[in-house]
Amino acid sequence: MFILKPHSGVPIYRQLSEQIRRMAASGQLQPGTELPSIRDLAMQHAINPMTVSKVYSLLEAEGVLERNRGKPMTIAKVARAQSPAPKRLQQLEPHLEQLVLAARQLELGESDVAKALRNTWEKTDERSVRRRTPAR
Amino acid sequence: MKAVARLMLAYFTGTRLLSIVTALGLIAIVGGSAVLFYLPPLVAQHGLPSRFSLAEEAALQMAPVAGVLCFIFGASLLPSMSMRLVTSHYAYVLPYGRVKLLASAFGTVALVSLVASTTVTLFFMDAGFPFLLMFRRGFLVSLTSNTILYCVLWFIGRSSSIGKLLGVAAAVATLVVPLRYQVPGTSITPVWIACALLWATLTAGVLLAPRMKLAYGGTRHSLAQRFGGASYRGGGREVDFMFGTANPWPLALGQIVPIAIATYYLRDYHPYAADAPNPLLAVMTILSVVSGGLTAVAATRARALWLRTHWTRAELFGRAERAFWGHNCFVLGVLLVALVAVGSWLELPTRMLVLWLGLLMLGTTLSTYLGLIVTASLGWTECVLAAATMVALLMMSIYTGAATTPPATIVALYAGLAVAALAFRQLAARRWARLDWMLCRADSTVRPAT
Amino acid sequence: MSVPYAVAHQLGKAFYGKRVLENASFTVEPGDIVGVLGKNGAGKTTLLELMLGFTPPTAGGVELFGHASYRLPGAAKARLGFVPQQDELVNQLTAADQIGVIASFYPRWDDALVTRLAREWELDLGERIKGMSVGQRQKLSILLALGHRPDLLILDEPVASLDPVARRQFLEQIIDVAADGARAVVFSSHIVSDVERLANKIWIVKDHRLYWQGDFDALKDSIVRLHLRAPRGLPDTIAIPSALSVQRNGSSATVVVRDWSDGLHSETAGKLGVEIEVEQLTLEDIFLELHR
Repeated sequence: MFILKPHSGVPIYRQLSEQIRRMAASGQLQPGTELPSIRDLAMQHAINPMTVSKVYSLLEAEGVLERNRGKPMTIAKVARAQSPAPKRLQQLEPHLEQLVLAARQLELGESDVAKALRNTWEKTDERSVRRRTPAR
Repeated sequence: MKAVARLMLAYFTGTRLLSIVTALGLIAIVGGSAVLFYLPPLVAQHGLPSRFSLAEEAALQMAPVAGVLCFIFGASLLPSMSMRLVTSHYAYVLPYGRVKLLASAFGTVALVSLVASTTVTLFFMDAGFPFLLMFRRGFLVSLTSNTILYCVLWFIGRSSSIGKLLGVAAAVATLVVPLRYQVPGTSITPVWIACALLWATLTAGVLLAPRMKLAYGGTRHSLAQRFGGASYRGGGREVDFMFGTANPWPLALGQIVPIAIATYYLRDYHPYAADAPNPLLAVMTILSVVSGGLTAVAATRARALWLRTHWTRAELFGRAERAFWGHNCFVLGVLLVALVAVGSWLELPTRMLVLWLGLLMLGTTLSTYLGLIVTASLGWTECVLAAATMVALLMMSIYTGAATTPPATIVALYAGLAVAALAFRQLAARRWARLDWMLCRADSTVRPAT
Repeated sequence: MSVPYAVAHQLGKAFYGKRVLENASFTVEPGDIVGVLGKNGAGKTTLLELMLGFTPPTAGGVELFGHASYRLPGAAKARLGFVPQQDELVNQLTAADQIGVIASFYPRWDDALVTRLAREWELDLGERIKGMSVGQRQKLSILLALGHRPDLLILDEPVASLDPVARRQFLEQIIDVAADGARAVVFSSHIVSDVERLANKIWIVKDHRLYWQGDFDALKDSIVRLHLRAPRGLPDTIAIPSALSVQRNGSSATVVVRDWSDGLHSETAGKLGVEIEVEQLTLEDIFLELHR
């Protein structure tokens, strides 16, 4: 379900929480979808269960996940409606930073980058979003 | 409690060989004692007629005793296993680990002594001594001597060849000497004291080991810095160094100790019958075999030589043979000189001395080649051959020791043994030609040749 | 707040006049997986042995389950499990016998768990320990410490001789132990990638002291690599407090710093007149940088 790289510089909890947020926001994980239990997810990826627990708690506090008594964590039903645009934009921050850095290294100007962004936006539509992001 | 019981079970049945020995021991004890009780009295020794011949009677009476010995040795995993656990991290981590280990050791020794003293007391019942008195005595004596025996077994397991030699002698002594105290009339206070001291020391050693390690660790550390480390003495060649045959003198001269002790104890020994075995010869025969036992590590150690030199396996065999003979000559030589010395002192007849010399030489030869035959872990062939050789040698020593055996027979038998030695050599040579070092891996118990 | 399983304050140990460990303070809470890293000879094994009460501290103290570890009572030992660096098995026994002997010391022993793991890890319990390979002996040693379901499991280089498949199986088992949040694991290892996956707390033993003791995520945020770029030229001296190493490359430089926080970002960028990109390091890189 998730792609986690324990040996990249990015902490595992951040990788996991971002992926869950993104997949919930994009609709890839429908509201009500059950997430694996802490133990199962930890065993599957060979990571610390406390990390998984931390992510689940964090996302529950944010409203992305819902805890059900006795049953595994699920994607919250009103996740998309509740999360305001600025908050969702926040999730794009790291990607924007990477884009800007790369552009500067290639010595491209801001307007060139904006133009390329618009082109790419028009080329991709809803359907190809689903096709591109790995689903399981 | 269940830990103590489980440990004791492991001591008796931990390896296949030991379980068999324990089982045999129990069968011999129970069976032999039953035979003694329920068959018509064996009274031939008192001059009255009986159904059995002297020899059969002797065998029947020996059965329970042999059974007791088997039972005692059936628990010989006790010293090595309990010490391994006591000196490991487990002694710190297992709940009540030390106490339970100590209790299991005491329980095993007590059990073995119980069985031994019960069996032995049954023997003395015929002589009219009160059972309880004999039993109490017997149990105490047995407890003490078995404790010493297991300590000696531990020592044998950990030491080099010379230590093993002294250990074997000490083991034989612990089995024989206590018999003196078995008979009522001699004071058993020294035995009480010895037993109490032994167990007090063992208990203190096991329970207080961490504190002692702290207190004396510093001293041991500095001593080890100064005197520890291997020393390459003798200036021999590399081959000798690799095989461990560089210095024969500790072993050669070390033999004198058990010989001296045995001679001292047996100096007044006069056999009742003319054809009774001579224990002194038995002791010397055992000694002549020990140096051969040292050869058993040759195959494992030869691997390093094979890696370093251009010799083929067949050539390696020749080198090993030469190295070990070079070593064993000295050991054998000292043994023969000691024999002559003891023989003259005890004023044994010359004919006997000459024949004994021959027997000892045969003993060393046979055991050396037997050791060279061991090219993989000890399997059935090796054990059977070793047992058969030992039995043959001991029987020969009985035969030779008796004054009535005609010399011609003895010489003929010697010739037979010599042929057997040659056969062993051929077998060893053939095995070395196909030596497979994956099968004779250097165990952690085989110490490096220094 | 749950009671910590292990607490140490200013723990120190000196052997024959040499100081092997000094001033170590730490806690182990239920649910923790602690990874202990350090160069050989830095004092890792001493730290673990002090925790287990094998040797008394010469300074400070350490408590396990509320008792001084050097005088841990027998009942508390049933909650403790230890895997030594070199196995201490009885060579003459079979694996099943060895397990039986060790199991008899504990009030509870999970036979089903041991049998299942032996099957998964491909350990033949009928085999004599004498004939086992080093990896199998290590697996057996680990099994012996898991059977009584200890609350605190301490392992000293448990995977040094295991192949990658066996290592992964071991990792999964550690996760299983810690997953319910009521048990804790402390393990030392040179295989940093394993520690990176599993640990939520890291102890770095360096120069006989606990250089770092705390959250793994905090460690990753604290020791980072800064990439400085100054199109108008770097200053002659790059003075960043708590910098561990500096490498210049024309108009750019790489600086590894510790005690970094996001707040320092703009302050440092402004002071030096450079652009800073923060790169987070893998645990192995952190360890290497600390020992440069």
